[in-house]
This record gives sequence, C-alpha cells and structure tokens, in this order.
Amino acid sequence: MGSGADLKELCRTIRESRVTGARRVSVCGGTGCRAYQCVAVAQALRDELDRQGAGEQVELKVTGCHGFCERGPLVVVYPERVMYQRVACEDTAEIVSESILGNKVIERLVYADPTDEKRIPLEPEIPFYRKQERVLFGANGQIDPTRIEDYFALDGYTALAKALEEMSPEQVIAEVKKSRLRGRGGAGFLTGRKWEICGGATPKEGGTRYIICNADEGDPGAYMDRSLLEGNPHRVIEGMLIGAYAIGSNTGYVYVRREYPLAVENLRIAIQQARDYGLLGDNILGSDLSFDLRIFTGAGAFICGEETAMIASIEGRHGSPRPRPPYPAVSGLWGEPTNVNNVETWANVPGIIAQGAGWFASIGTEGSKGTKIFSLVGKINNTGLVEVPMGITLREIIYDIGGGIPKGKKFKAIQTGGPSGGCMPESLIDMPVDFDRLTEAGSMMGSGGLIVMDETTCMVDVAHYFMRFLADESCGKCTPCSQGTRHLSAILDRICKGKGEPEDLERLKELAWIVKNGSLCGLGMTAANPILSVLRYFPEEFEAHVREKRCPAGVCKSLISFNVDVEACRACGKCVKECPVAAISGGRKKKPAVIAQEKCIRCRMCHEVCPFDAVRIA
Amino acid sequence: MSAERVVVNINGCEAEADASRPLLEAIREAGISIPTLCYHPALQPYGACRLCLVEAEWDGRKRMVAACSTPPAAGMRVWTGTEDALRARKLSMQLILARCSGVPGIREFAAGLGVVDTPFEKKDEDCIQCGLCERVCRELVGRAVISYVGRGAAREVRSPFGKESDVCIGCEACVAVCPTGKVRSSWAGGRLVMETWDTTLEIESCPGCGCPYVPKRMLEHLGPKAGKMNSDLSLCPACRRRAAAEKYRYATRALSVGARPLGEREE
Repeated sequence: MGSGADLKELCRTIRESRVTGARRVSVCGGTGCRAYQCVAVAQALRDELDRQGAGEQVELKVTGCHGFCERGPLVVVYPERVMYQRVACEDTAEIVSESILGNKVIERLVYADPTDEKRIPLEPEIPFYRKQERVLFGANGQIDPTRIEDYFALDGYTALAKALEEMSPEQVIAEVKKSRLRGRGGAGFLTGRKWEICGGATPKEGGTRYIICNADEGDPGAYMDRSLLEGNPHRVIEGMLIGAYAIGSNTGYVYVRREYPLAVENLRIAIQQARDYGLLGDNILGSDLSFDLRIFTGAGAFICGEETAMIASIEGRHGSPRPRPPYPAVSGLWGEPTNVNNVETWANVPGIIAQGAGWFASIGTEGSKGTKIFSLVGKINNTGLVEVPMGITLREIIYDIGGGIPKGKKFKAIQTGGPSGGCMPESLIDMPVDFDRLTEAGSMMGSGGLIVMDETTCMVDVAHYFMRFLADESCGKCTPCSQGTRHLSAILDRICKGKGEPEDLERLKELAWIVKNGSLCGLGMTAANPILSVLRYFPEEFEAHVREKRCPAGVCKSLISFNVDVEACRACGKCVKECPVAAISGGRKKKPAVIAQEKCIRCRMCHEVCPFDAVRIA
Repeated sequence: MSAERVVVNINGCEAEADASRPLLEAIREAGISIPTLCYHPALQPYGACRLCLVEAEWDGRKRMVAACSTPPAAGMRVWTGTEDALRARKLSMQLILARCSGVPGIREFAAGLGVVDTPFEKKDEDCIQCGLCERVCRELVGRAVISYVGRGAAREVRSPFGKESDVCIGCEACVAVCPTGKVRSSWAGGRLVMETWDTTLEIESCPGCGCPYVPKRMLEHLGPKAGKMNSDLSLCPACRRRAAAEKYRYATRALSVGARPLGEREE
C-alpha cells in the first residue's frame, strides 16, 4: 500500500465484503478460556456446523479475551450478540441447531442475574459489561488476532495514515500531550512529555532512537496487557508506529514475558502480517517512516519490568536497574534515547490520533484522563477484565460491575497496584479511581490489578505473601531492597507462624523506612507498601497475630485449629472421607466427628465440605 | 564530558562541582566525610551499598539520593547531616553488617562509622554485592571473567556456570578491590590460583633470572598490545631494569669514546 488512500480503500473493501447482519459466531480464545478448554469447544462448534451443513455459511471466529473470565468459555452469536457462558463441548450441538440455525435462545446457557435469576441473553445488557466503557477492549470480540484483515475491517492503521499524512511529528507529540495520557504501566508519567524528551534527545553518531513496549506485566493477578496483546496486537503495533514517527525512531522492541506464549505467538503473526502489507519496513504507506519491530522475551524476572533493568536484559546483561538520571528517554538502550511505554499506553495512542485529544480528555478526571483496563480478581463474583473511565469509584467496580462478594461474604479490602501497592479498606471504596487519589491513600494505580478480599482473608497473610514475592524478585543489587525485603519477609513469616515478638513492629517500621527511602529503584522504593498499608488500615489484625498469637480471619495455619461442634454435627461422615491425612475419627452412627489436632494439616477440607457448618475454626 | 563546573549548595555553603563527576566527590572535596563501599573513582557509579545517601533538592523536588551516582546540577541543594540522611546511612550499614557479621573488615568499617551492632538478624555471608570485582574486570581490565548470577539475597558473582575461566588473565584486580576478602588468590608451586573463581593459571618464569613472574595468559593478552615492547615484557621488572641499564651503559660508553667525561673518572 503506497498511501493512506490505498489503506482506506482496503479497509472499505474488506468491510463491504462482509455481510452485516450475517449469522456468525465468535468464541473467546484468550488464555483464561483456554484453561477451560475453549479450543476444544471451538473445534466442537466447527465440527457441528459442518455436520449440520452450515460450515460454509456461518463464520466461526476464535477471538481474543472477551473479559468476562468468570463465565468462560464464552460463545457469542451474532448479529444479536447472544452470549452463552460456561459452554462445554456437549452443548455445541444444541447451540448450532437451536441457536445458530434455529434462531432460538438457549436459556440455560445464558447469563442469569444472581439477585433475581432473570436471564440476560444479550451481551451488552449483562451488568458486567453495561457499566464498562470498553473503548480499547471492546474490539477484542470482533477480531481474530491471527488475521490482520479483521483489524482493517475496523479501520485499523488509518490513525497511522492520518499521523503520517496530515500531521508533523511535533504535532503528533502535541496531540498526545494535549490528551494528558499518563503511562498505564504504573508510574503514570505524562506520555506526551516523555515522547517530547526522547524526541529532543540526540542519538549517538550513526545511532538511532529506540522505542520499547513494556509487556513484562509481572504483578500477580494482572493480565490486561496479556489480553491486549493476545487479542488485538495490531492496535499496539499501530500505537508504536505512531510513536516511532513522532519521536524519530526506526527500531522498536516488544519485551514480552516468556510466561505469555500465546501473546508472543499472536504478536509474531501480527508483525509478519503487518510486514506483508508494508506497514512495517521501509517507507511505510509511502512516507519517509521506516520502522520495524522485534520481539524480545523475558526469562522470568519481575524486576525486568523496570525500564533500566529491561534495557539491561535486552543488552544481554543481568537484569538489574541502574541509577537514574540519566533517564532512558535521553540515554537508554545501548546509550541511545529510548522511549519505554506500557502495552496499554501504546494501545491508547491510535484512538487519540483518530478521535482527537479532546475526545480522550473528555473521559476521566482532571488528573487522570481516559479509560483504564483493570483485572478484577479474588473474592469477587465477576472475575475478569474491566475497562472503565478514570474516576469511577471502587464501589462501583466491586458491586455494579463485579457483582459483589461471592457466597454472601463481607467485603474486607481491595489490593490495588500489585506488590507495589496497598490494601484499601471498606471505608475508602468510594474513592474515585485516579492516579493521585490512590497514591494519597498509600497505594497506587499500578498496572491495574484489583484483588478483592473478604472476611476470610488474613491481611497479615496478604502482606506476607507480597513480601515473599518481593524478596524473591529483588534483583539483589542494592542493600536496602535485597536485605530489607529478606528481613521483612522473615519477620512476617515468624509472625504468621505465631512466633511474633513485641519488638517486631519496630523492626518492621525501621526496615520499611530504609527500603522505601534507600532503595535504588521503584521495586525497592515501593516494596514496603503492602506491610505499611496493613499496619495503617488493619493494625488490630496485626496486633492479634503478634501479641495474642491469634489469626482473626482463621487463615494462618499455625494459629488456627479446626474443631467439630458436637451440637451441630450430624455424623454424616463427609469430613472423615475427605480428610487427606485421616485425622478425623467417628462421624458415623450418631457419634460426632473428632479431629485429631496433632494429625491435622489445616487444609480446610472438612470445613468446606461439612453441610451443617459444624467444623469451626478457632 | 567537558569539565563543566556548576555551583551547588552543600549544608548551606556554596561549592563548585565538576558536573562530569559524581556529587560525592564535590561533597568530599568540601571536607565532609561520607562512607562508601561500592564506589571507586576509576569505575562507573554503581549505587549499590547505599552508604553515601544524602538528601538533595533540585527541580523543585527533595529526595534521598546516593551521592556516588548523582550528577551535580546547577543550584542543587544538598544536606548530608539531616536526621533522615544519618538514619539512612546508619540503617544501610546495619543491614550490611547483619549480612556479613563475621567479616572483620566489615566490622571495622562499621565501627569506624559508630555502628557496632545491628538490630537485624545476623548472617555469616562473605559478599556485600558491591560489584567491584565484576566492574573492575569488565570496565578497567576489559576481560569480563565474572558476572552476576541469581537474584535477591541469593545473588552471587561467578564465572559462567561456576566453571574454570579461560579468559581470566590473573591480574588479581578483583582481589585488590574486594572489601570483604571473599575474592582470594594464592601463589603456589609456579601457579596462581584464583580461588574464588576456581581458576588456576600457569606462571611463566622470567628468562633472565628464572623466578616465577607472571601468568602466561597475561603475557599472551598484553603481548599483542605491547607491540615493540613484547620481548621486554617477558622479563621480570628487575631483569627489565638491568637490561635497560645495560643498554644505557652501552650507549654512554659508545658516546664517551674519544671524549673526556665531566669529572675525572678512571675505570
């Protein structure tokens, strides 16, 4: 394609060749649904369509993540957009005959509102989706990520054409600055400002500027970037192309963590297809821009999500950060000006160019513009990926979109920002989600992981979990982090085992202080947040563990015991059968069950299976 | 970088700093004592030990920085003795001391800073991860024999796969810079053993006096770089001086033939 006009023509042709209103079906093929055998479901659907003679007429598309991961495998029938959830291979015959060919809705497979059991067949009307603003993520349902034509059908790459043909690089930077887009990787630096600094920095003699897409996504529970790369890789590529034009770069890297094989594969395919269409390579769309992308996979280190450690990794060195300044925008990969942005940040760029900075800035709050994709996980009914405007409250996300806490349990806290963030108690969930507000509350936006916790979560155990994670992931270069996280982790380990000492609180505070104030990089500087937020918002729970050797939530194994309430026990024998270490005797012939404490491994099975709630945690 | 001078303010006093050198040097030139373990003037700043933490303000933000890896900026204000700065340096020392509680050099260094004990659980390790061995080998000597392996508290410096190195030239720069004595070497039986890297190097004897002199690999590495001096390098320093003196005596004798030297001399 030699010009933007050629591209627009191609997009139009593809769109017109597709019959709108045609009966078609899409199956979510994201990694989450793959764990639920969606590939087999898609194949079964394909086979059924063939078997029932409709294989030619009905298009079946395996797409990227649809976001409603709790309910996968997901199958959506178009044009009505009837969504079937928790689909098994056994259901596919019925779906084809009754729904796809028979135009009927299969009630039992459709989403049911938990409050009134009312069936909601249409995807956009499901409360989980209705309250979202799926500016970026909505396209996933329309795209087979292995077919660039699907991206063209949505006017893909026309924002790039607009930038190349109607704007100068300076104007592109100005537009991104005007949009006030802030980095979606966690730090929230103004993207346009970073581009300006990088574009203004001179490469070495005979050198070049680099742009990097940070797809390391290391926060436990966060998988937004994975789903964007898996489901809509061209969106990210287009954003990087626009950035390359604005900054003046001819080489880009996408650094993907190796734990994301599907994202790596779909990106590899997308890059090849973009090259085939001349959208990567020399003189793109007939312009002066020559640019190509390389994929670089990580090797299992969380710290390589930090930009200077990532750069070291790409250079073949040990993935450790280095002091800044100089910032990578001025001197980065091989000493050249390098612009590193997160996957979601790049994905926002085409929209800003196509629809204007004004449109983007009309969404969100004063300090945080646009939408944010969050992964909503943990003790929540509607686990999945949600895209919402900045400024929405945590309460709305948890209850209106997330559907509240399962099994009627009570909300306790929500962890934001991953291991660098903190827990927010109920008193704070009317807080608008916004970079600055979250930081003020002692947490941070981070990459967008939201981990919901209920009354059965022990906050000290949560702090311990994150501390162990950080001690394991610390690169080991600077003393405060490598030693600080090590000691913090060991002290919390003792506390959770009932061996807390009165001096531990002081020790934790001293360690937290030096880790926060003395560390070399962001991992270390934020490493104390989990324990600090627990001390700030749940001090009583911490005190109970240290002074009373008690775990109020009934989680820390060394501090709890399982006992049978003889009044409530009906001697049904279920717990006896389930106990993996045969620690329970009795429970039959009207004799109540008895748990032998010395054999009990605190696995909770008896408590979970008892139909009479007779197993109590003390 | 050129030697641009900038004016900074250290503890209320104005001072001129070389903008291409770390802030630490300007602070020390001002007569203020700041401890360091991982800093070396001939190496790139590393910023690992955090013993040189000071408070600095520039661009409207005040933060705790490692002076060894902070470039001085015009108008920067620095405070080295605030409560927070002192606390930061003390805690960093206490963490290092806890890690290598049995290393005499570290205990003495800490005692010199007034840190004789540590509130943290003591370990008996021998490496503080200052990186000096790796950095001197790669940056100054240019051999890159060793590198970092592993992460966090378990991070180590090793040769690839911990195996005998075939690129080490036995210069022992790593031994010279190690603050804990973990990096050790010994000479025995005509061999240099780089004990920490499990590497043994053959020592060449001097052709002049026959004494064991230099690792063969070092001669091989320096030889091509020495050009015309090559033959002289294989001689030990004493024999080299003798050889040079011979040449000089020969030359002056040649000059003095037919001329009476200054000051009567009878041979």
